[in-house]
Amino acid sequence: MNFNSLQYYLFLPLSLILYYSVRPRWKNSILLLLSFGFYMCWEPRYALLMLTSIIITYICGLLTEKQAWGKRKLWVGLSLFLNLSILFFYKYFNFSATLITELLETAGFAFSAPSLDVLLPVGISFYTFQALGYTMDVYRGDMSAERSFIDYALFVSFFPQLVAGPIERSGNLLPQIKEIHKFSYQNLHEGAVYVLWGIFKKLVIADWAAVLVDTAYAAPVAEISGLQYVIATGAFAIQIYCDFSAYSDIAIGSARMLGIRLMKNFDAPYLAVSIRDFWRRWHISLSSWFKDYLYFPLGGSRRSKARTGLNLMIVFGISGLWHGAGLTFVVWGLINGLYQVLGIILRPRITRTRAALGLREDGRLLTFFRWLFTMCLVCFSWIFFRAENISQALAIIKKISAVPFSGAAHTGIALLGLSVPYLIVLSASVLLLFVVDRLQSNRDLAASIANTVALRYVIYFCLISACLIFGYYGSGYDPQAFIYFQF
Amino acid sequence: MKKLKKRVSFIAFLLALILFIGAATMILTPIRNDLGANWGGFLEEEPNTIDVMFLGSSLAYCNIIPAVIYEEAGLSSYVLSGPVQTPALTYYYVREMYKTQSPALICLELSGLFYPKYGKFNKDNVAYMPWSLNRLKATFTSTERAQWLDLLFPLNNYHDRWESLTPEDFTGYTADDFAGYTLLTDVISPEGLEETVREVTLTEEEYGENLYYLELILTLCRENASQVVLYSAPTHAQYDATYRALLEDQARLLAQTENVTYWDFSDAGSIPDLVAEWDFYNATHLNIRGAEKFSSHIAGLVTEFTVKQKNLDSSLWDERVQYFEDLKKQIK
Repeated sequence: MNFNSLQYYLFLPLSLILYYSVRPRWKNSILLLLSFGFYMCWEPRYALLMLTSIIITYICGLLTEKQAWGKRKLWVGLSLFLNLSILFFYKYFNFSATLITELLETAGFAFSAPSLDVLLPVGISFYTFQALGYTMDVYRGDMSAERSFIDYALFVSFFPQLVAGPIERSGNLLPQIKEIHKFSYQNLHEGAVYVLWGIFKKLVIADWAAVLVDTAYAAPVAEISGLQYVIATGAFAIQIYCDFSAYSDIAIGSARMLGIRLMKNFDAPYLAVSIRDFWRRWHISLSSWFKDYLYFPLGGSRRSKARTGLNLMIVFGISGLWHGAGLTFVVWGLINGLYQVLGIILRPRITRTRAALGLREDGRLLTFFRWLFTMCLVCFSWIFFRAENISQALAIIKKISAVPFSGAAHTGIALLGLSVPYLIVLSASVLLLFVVDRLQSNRDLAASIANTVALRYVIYFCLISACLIFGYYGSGYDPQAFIYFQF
Repeated sequence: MKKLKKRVSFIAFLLALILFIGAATMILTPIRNDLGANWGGFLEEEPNTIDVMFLGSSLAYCNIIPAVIYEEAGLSSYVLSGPVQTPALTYYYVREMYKTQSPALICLELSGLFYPKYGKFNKDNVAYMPWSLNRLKATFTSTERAQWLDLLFPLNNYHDRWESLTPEDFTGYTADDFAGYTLLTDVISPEGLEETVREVTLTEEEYGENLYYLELILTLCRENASQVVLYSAPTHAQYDATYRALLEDQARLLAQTENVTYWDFSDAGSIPDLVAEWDFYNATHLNIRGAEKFSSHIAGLVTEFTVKQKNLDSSLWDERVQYFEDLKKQIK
């Protein structure tokens, strides 16, 4: 059941009606049943896997707090080991087997590692990290172990954020789960703004941008010009942001309707003026998870610059691997790590140069160039994220870097599968996206809109109408799954 | 006061949205003026001005020229049929038709008896019906579940037409110059001439259902005081002997028990001057030359029925006759 499906548009209001109709003591049980029902719409048997993860981390949390057998590290270690083993089995086994086979073949050994015919359970990367985060919070004493199995299970499986985040922290979500939430029109309207905006980003922007992207990246490299790859990569930057943030918005909106506030997952990332700034704004729940549970335990930036650089490369490499069992994702992660490391090394020199030139850090021209440079760096890394393999990524880079854009430059955007009217709609929608991002930076725009009666209905009307007319849906359209479902 | 403002705003929003969806549906649903299911043009006819209705499948809208019937018999007629249309759909067409017209004679082309329940054009045949209980019933009885969303919410099917809208999409329908006829000008190919057998693929259960709806149509016509003619259209490719016998037996039985008339034109030789090589578009449909000859023959037959001429707009029908004459000159 995708967020952009008719079934979800029926499931959500039914869930709200059920949730607010039952007595307070049954609310979480109902929500838990709904969440498992939601998950089982994909592949029912993988609900057992999620239940296994829930049971492991629930028990390990209690044992960690109780220091059962006088041990604490044993139980958190066990939780980590078992959950990561499950994740490795389903997500990384085949990738590892292929890598080992190729490495051994390169070294002259003929060996074929076995591969498994397993489906990647939807959301496994997300709920596993969420559960492990809880385990580590209990270990550190930041959080008391949850006694109620129902409440804990709901924390892991809460349907709005189960499949593609935001990866919630126990400190934020568990206390809210334990509260009694009464129906509130304010929450309903705030949630509706988020959900409708998310649906708009998905149907009107992301899925149409995908047409440009897929046309270019699916074709043989020889048939696509450098200019077309530039356009397609820019379109992919838009696609992945809108696709992923749309899911987050629908998740946040759905949870808000239930009275629960999930964390912000994106904060206008394409308004960032540096790579460090970008990573403070992009997939905030994951980057903060890695920061708190991997980067800081490795030492963070408290040690030498060399060690800080190494820590960054490890974190971003693993972050890339988290996204997918493929070298392209690892390379994408490492490139972003490298950006961060180079940023640290060059920052003092850049600051001195800026001062010497008399340029103000907040000057408009400088800010614009910093933004443009950041976007170029980000888009460059997206090539690896989107390409089928390293060879294709390198071939695309070679095409783009040829002067003056090799291939039929004049054909450009025209052959990328989108008609002129839809290009205009897409461009206008992207412009709107930037305006909204700018407006909602440092402010809860949804709450402001929801508070103003006439404005919110105008917004609802405009978003629904735009989706109905310009949306990528209906007969003859292949519904595009959310990109982050594959992670 | 604040609560009232919120309620009024909510209602205004709902109304605006419903109106927008309605308007968008009307504008974005393509205009359909030929190839059957041409409800738009039909509903532009003045109420109770049609003397003879032709219903059935494409063998009605490709073979019957109302302008010819008017010119030769002085009777107004209209062809309201759909491609590969089953009797079930024709039944709902007749029900809907009776809301605006009260023809004295209904001529029902019979090939629908051998069409399977879920033909590939059923969705189109329903999609252009006016919004009504009949349309809903036709949706749920004659189309597959996967098509229901498109039929109940047409924007699901047509929303992307916004980039190819024409002024006609905004002005809507006008009276159809052809009164439901679809113009075919090509002549049958040599390969078409070799096609002599019509394929039939339906189950016994589907055939039984087709007969059931045919009975319902006859009952409905009787209740509305319309005389009924069942007919087999002239075709080059014929049913094999089994189906032919089935059709003839059924038609004769209905003629005897329901007091209807059966015309068997399936043998093209029964129509005067009809020449296979020149008058057919393909193995089953007539082109404009063949349709003119067939319509002329029909015109002679319908006058044998007591058909009181309705209060029709003779200037409209004179225009239609002139339009057809001018068209023939252009084609020649």
